[in-house]
Amino acid sequence: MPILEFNIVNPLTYLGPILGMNLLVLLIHIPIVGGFGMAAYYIIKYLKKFYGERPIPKEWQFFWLAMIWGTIHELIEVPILYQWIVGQALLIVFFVIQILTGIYLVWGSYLLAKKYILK
Amino acid sequence: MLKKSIWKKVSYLAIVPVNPKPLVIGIKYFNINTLMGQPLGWLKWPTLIGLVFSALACVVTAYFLAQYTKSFFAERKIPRSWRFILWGVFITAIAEIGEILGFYEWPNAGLIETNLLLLIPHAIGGALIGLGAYFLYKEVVS
Repeated sequence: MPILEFNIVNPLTYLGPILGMNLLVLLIHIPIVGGFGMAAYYIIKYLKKFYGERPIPKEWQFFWLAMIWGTIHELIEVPILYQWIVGQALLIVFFVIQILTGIYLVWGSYLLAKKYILK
Repeated sequence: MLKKSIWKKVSYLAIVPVNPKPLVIGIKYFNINTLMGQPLGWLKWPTLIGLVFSALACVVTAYFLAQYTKSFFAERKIPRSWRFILWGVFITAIAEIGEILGFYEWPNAGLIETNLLLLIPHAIGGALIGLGAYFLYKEVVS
């Protein structure tokens, strides 16, 4: 595998000759990436509104960060799928982002559960 | 004419193009030594760990969020926002498992893994999480 390589790949022919299928796969990335992006956007708006001047609790900070990293995670999967970018450098970045997303998700949700239930 | 022929060539520059005759299930092509058809070399284990960790993190998060909503709202009805977020995370966990299969089976990923385990749950999960967060904001505003 190369260190880093860029390719020009047409997403409308990548998965075979059926245009509809290619288009569907391409468009399906809008809710995937957009969903996480929308969550990051609305969660911070919610927190600012709900907590106002008060400090935002750690569990919510982590949960919001998980949505930010989740968006980057989903975004980076698009060039991986279409092989627009190929290489070890990309996989290392992808690995780091996956680990960060996972840690923030689990930590945030664990602290939420701990704060309200487990004590 | 020239533009058309250039575009045609560009279209097929994919390094590892998908199998033109897609399989129903491609599990027999599952190979942790390659990702998207590219040999992984020393990145074999970090890549596998990253992908498995992602899927496990979603499962564990869904569990904690289920515990949180169940106890926090107790007898009250769980609001639409939290139901959406919880289901979104759970369905995304399915998609993350599908992702492992799809990435490692490429270019012979089966239609079942690609569609039922990867693309459709990923889109539904992402949309639910996004909508859930939107409703969460709406609930506090109204």
